[in-house]
Amino acid sequence: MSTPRILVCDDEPHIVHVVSTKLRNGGFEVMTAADGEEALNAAMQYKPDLVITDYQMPYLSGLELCVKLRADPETQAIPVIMLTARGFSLGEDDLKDTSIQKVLPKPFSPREVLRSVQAILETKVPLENAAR
Amino acid sequence: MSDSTLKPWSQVDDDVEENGAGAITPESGLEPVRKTKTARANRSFSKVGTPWLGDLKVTPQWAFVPMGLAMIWLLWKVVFPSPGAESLPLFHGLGIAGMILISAGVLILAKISRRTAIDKMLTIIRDSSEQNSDTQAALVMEPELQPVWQGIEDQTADLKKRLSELLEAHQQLTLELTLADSQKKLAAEILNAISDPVIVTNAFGQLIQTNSKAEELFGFSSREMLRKPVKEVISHERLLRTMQQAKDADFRAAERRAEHEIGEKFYSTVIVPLKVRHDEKSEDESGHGVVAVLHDITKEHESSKKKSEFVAHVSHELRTPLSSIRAYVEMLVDGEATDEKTRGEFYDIIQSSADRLGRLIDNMLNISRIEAGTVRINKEPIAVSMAVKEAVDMMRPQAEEKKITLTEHLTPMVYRMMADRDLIYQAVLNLISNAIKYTPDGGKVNVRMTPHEENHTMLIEVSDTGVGIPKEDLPKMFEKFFRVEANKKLAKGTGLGLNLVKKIVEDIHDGQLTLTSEVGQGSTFGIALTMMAK
Repeated sequence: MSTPRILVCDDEPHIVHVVSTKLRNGGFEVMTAADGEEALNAAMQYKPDLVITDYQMPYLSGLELCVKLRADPETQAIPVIMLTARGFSLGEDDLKDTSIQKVLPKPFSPREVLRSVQAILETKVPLENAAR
Repeated sequence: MSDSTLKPWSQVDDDVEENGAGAITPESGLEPVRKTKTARANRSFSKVGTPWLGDLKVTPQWAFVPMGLAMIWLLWKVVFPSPGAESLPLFHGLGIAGMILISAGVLILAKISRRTAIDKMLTIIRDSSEQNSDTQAALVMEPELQPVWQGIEDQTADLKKRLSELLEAHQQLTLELTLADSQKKLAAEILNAISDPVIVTNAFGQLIQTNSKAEELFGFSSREMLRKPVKEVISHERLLRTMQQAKDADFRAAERRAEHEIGEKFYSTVIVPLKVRHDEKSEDESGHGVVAVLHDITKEHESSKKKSEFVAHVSHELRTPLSSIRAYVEMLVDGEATDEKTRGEFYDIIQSSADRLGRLIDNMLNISRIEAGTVRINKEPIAVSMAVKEAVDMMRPQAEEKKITLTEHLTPMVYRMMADRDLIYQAVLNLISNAIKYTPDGGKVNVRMTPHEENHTMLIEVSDTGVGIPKEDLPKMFEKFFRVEANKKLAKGTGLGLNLVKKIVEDIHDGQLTLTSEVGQGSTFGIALTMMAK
């Protein structure tokens, strides 16, 4: 099995840096994006196994990005972890049309991000196999 | 009946109505009438007597004289009949009949005399409204009329008492009417002076009072709409519903408070039940009206909305550097930085994030301190170019990150001014920081200082080649929490930076702010400060 690919998207370079460093050290292949639009293009192009995105970003918010990913058959199966300082403002309705599997509030722990990524990818693989 | 002198009560009232308030008083209206009548009464009573006989009074008793004579004559003739005559001789018969006729005449005269006396008296009573000793004396002279007089006298006294009571009540009412009228006018003026729209309805839901602010708000004219159902006056469904609820509710629990959005404004409405004094007793049956006062809270509403936005922004702004600090510390603890170079990189990030956190907190604290008047201002003669240079140097790394060319054209140190160095530094820093934030990668930001010696001012301008500000937003740029909607997505911010600049420049240094901007071309923010003489 090839190394899972993670797309990390945040307009804060430090966050992108710390998350990608943690994931790379954890054995994942990481690509980054600085805003929602860039992330959408990257997701369409590279079909990552998982997307980690910030909620509040310029041009396209994290939630808008997730809705767009979900709407496209090519990307709708990609699970998403949302990093947000506004976890409280995400309700059931917001998550309904997305593939957001976990919301991690800021300040977050890179350890927890890594653990969540691993957990989601572990459950995702057998599901995909079962579907096939 | 003679009506030219004494009028019936109803007519007296009518006259009062016609003459207006206070026209009739016992002194002004009745007194002269009374005097003329008394004079006439006296004149008439002195001539009370029998017609054709002048003052001679004929009483029925007088008839006893001829009647007695007739009886005696008849008796005499019966006891001593004329000799030889079987019946009453003609002479005696005629004599007796004459006597009887005389007594009948006397009785008729007495009757006429009495009738005349009563008529006279009635005329006097009708003509007179006031007891008069002369009149009384005249009447007392008629002993048989005494009880009649007494009754009339009592009634007259009663009527007089009632008249004076009614006059007093009328006067009181007139006074109260005048007072009520002026109070009504005053109430209307007070209502109009109130800056909040006011709507008053009665128990039937009709508009009974309002003010000009309400007319403006709901677009009606109170002249036309007074006494009309309030539903026809205002079309705001929610407000009408709240008013209806207050009207239907129990009087003691009927006060309602609600917020209504009317047009583009927000109102805090207080609806209080209205009970007019006269129906206090029939509290539950009669129902009640309501007074609705609408207080414009648009500003508070906006400010509270801005505050919640601000809290959201601030929490995000605070959490972002805090996230970095915590994440990198955890990375160091977990040994994720394997070499010295990476560790150094992590330390730098932690430091710059801590600095950013500090700046944000400083900005917020400075604003609240300036607002609360507790900021410690340390004005001293400073070379402003030093403070500006420091701000430019501080922001250079951020400009470089976005590949923005940051240039400076500063004045020599010789230009000095009385200012708080830290605050001026903060203001210039905020302007440069904004310029970098809202200028796309590869743009230009220039800081220029221009001395205007003719009016002793120094102009510090920060211009950029950024996105610019829409014309309609220019006046709001220095308001607290305001952010240009179209540019919100370009950068994070709290809407505090420019407000702090305004407070530092205008409130603390008596300086002036300038702003020119063109969407898509860029903006120039300027600070003009007074210089010290060289």
